Amino acid sequence: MTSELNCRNTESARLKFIHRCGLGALVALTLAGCSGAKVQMEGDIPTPLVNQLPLRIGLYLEPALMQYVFEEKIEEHGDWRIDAGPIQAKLFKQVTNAMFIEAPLVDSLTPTGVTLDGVLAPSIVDFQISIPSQTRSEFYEVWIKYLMRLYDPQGTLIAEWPLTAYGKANRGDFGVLENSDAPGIRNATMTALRDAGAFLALRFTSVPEIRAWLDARATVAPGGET
Amino acid sequence: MISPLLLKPFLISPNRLLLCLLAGLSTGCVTTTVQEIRSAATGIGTTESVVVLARHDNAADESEDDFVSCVSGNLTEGKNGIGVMTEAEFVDALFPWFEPRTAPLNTSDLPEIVNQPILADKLNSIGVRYVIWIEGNTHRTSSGGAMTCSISVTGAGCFGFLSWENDSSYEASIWDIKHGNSVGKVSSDANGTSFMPAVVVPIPFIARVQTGACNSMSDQLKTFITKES
Repeated sequence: MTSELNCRNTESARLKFIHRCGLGALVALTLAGCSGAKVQMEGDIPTPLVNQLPLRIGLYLEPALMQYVFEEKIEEHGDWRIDAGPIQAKLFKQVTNAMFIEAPLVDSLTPTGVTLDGVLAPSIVDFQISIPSQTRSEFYEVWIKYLMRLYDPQGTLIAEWPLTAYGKANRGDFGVLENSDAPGIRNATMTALRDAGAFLALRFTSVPEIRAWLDARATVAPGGET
Repeated sequence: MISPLLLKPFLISPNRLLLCLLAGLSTGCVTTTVQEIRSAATGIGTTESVVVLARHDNAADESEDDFVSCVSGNLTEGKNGIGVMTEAEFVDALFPWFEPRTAPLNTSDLPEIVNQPILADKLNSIGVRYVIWIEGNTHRTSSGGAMTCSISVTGAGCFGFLSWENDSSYEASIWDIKHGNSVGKVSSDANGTSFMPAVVVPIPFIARVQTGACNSMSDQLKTFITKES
């Protein structure tokens, strides 16, 4: 308000004010043009409603997974950064605790001092995003490709399979005046994480090598217990 | 460019401000059409509820979150209101069976879910009897006119006329979880033209097309579900 009153006093002040307004508008337009988002993934993953397998499976979360950060500079659409590391522990602990009778966190592929049937080790091998202005759609989209590995307690690989997760979020679900980039990409990533949890829980026993391993265990020790 | 001297009296008059606010609340006309197809008898117990879910498998026809929330909210209101569980609560409670890529697409997929004891127990405990799947959305079909706005040190103003037409088309498929079948469909279509004349101050006359479609669909769904026939 003070600057506006001053602007009215003299012609030079008026010109200064217009100059400042113009500069402000330019800065605002520039900021609006440089979109992008920096997102720290947080939130809860629900407990999967699945029948528990009679298995004790250790969960090994490698440091690269726990510290996973996706970064991409999209031309004319700014810098995008998704810190998706810390939530991986929450996701896999929640899902494996529901899937198996025991699923302790272990610090190596061959843990000692604990009786296990196997060790599950997920890793992220690819992470991609797309934003509405790239695809001319209304959706923020996220693809996460995990590589899942199951080892026996001696560290021998039992099965290795890809787990591809997908999530999307509609730009139209955010306010017209709201910058939807950060919430949009966050929601899409959270949907992809839930998708990963869903497919791990529902399709674990459909992986042929795991099916064969479970069948062999059932033949050797009825009840599936070692 | 409008002279700032012309703008000033309009901007400071409280009466004119009030007039503008009242005008802003005005709405354009909306025409709605509702249809229903019944394929089985319905009815809902006092301890039973429904859940309204958006279909996420077809991006082109995906419903807006606010439409789903609007239908959910409206179903609980009025003397024939019914119990409604929110979409988020339901998909969390039934995780991972109702995620975008795992949700059943047809009623033929339902037995796989409802026949599993762990899921049947959960459905019984949350009391959801009907799942209402919503498909469709609202989009702009045409727009026209022009408006110019300018700002200066002594004020701001706009001049011109804008108009646009929105079209809503939604379909709700109602599944009876208890019996594992589809009991019918309710569709709601609405369209309306909004316009905004501006002589210094833009005065919007917004046709609330999506809200019209939501209200019509909710009323019909309530009758459809509660009417025991």
